[in-house]
Amino acid sequence: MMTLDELVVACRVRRVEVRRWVQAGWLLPLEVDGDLQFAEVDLARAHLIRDLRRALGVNEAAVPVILDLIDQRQTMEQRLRSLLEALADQPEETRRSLAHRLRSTSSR
Amino acid sequence: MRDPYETLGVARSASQDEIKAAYRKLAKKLHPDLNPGDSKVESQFKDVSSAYELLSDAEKRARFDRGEIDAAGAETQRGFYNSYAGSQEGRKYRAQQGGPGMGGMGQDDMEDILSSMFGGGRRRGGASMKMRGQDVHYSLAVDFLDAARGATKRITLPEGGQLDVKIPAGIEDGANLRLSGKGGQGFNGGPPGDAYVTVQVRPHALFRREGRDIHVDLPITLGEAVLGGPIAVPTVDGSVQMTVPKGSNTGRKLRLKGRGLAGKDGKGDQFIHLQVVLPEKPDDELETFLKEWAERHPYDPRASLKRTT
Repeated sequence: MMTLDELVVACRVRRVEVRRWVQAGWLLPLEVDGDLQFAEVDLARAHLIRDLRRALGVNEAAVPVILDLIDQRQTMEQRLRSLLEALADQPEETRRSLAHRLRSTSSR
Repeated sequence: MRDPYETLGVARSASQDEIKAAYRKLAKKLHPDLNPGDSKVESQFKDVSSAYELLSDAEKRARFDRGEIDAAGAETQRGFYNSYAGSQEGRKYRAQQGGPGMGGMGQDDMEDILSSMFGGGRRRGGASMKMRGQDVHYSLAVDFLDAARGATKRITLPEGGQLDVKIPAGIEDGANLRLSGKGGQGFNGGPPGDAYVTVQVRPHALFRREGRDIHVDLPITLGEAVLGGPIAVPTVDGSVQMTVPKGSNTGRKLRLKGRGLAGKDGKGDQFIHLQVVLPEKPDDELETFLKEWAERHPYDPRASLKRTT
């Protein structure tokens, strides 16, 4: 966990910017006895927001849209991974018939 | 590192705007959070970023062009958001999204997939099924003294709501606390989940922890070292008086019994490591005295060194 000051240094952004990101709900730090605490994932996300704004020139309105899409993609990936793991545990016959079905779907 | 102009694909005469444009184009193509699943892009992105950092700073660029500095820029240590995709930490971000099919129940909710598998529509089958709420995970940093003495911390959660976390005295760094029933709400009358809090203990400038014992380096004067005497020693529970024995050298270890941290079988101890410190300014009187004294009382503290070398 890091403080706001530590995050500002690590990310090389201004305090007011980070405060705005928190207010907008782009970053979700914990507030402990009134002080913000940032986890590693918050730092990585702050880096991403900074890159979107600076390196990629994304405007303020588009940032939450992009963040949301990235989160959705991650969710999908997680689900797909769980599904594939569950499939890998199935008997060979099940996996074969599934593969067959998927091949015929993709060639349609 | 490669030539930064080459890395960005621009001429040495490129304007600041051209450099910026080239960087944006590459960053879009190479940012690991926007181009997942390609392990090569990460290092390329880092190269491009440090090349841009150098060339976007007019002063640094001029110094590089004159050959005063090389391209080995300060490589900044950073993690990418994607690497937290499956983590407990990152769950709060995935749980808040409102896209279709996301259901608002958090990312591990496989219900949509399950109900599709059994021919149902997208809606979950058992609308009246009792379900336990999700467990939630937080990390919490606490100050050394709060961890030593115990404390209650009020956490305001990102999604609103508050959580009072009781930190037991003597808690160790990395310890997990379970707050029963403080997780996500249950569904259709199901019980709530639990909240798990991982506690990080911040280091202290003076106190070091070893098991249940506390160690402190304590400076003492030359006079206190030679003559002994009472001194005030800081402990996690406040200042304590103790006596430095006559003739105490640097490195001497004193023990304050029961002044350590609480544990299952009683409290630990505090150990004081003495450090003899000379007066800040040279002192004529001391020098005069020592010149005579040293002549009359020679001793060799390095005798043991000679034997081993």
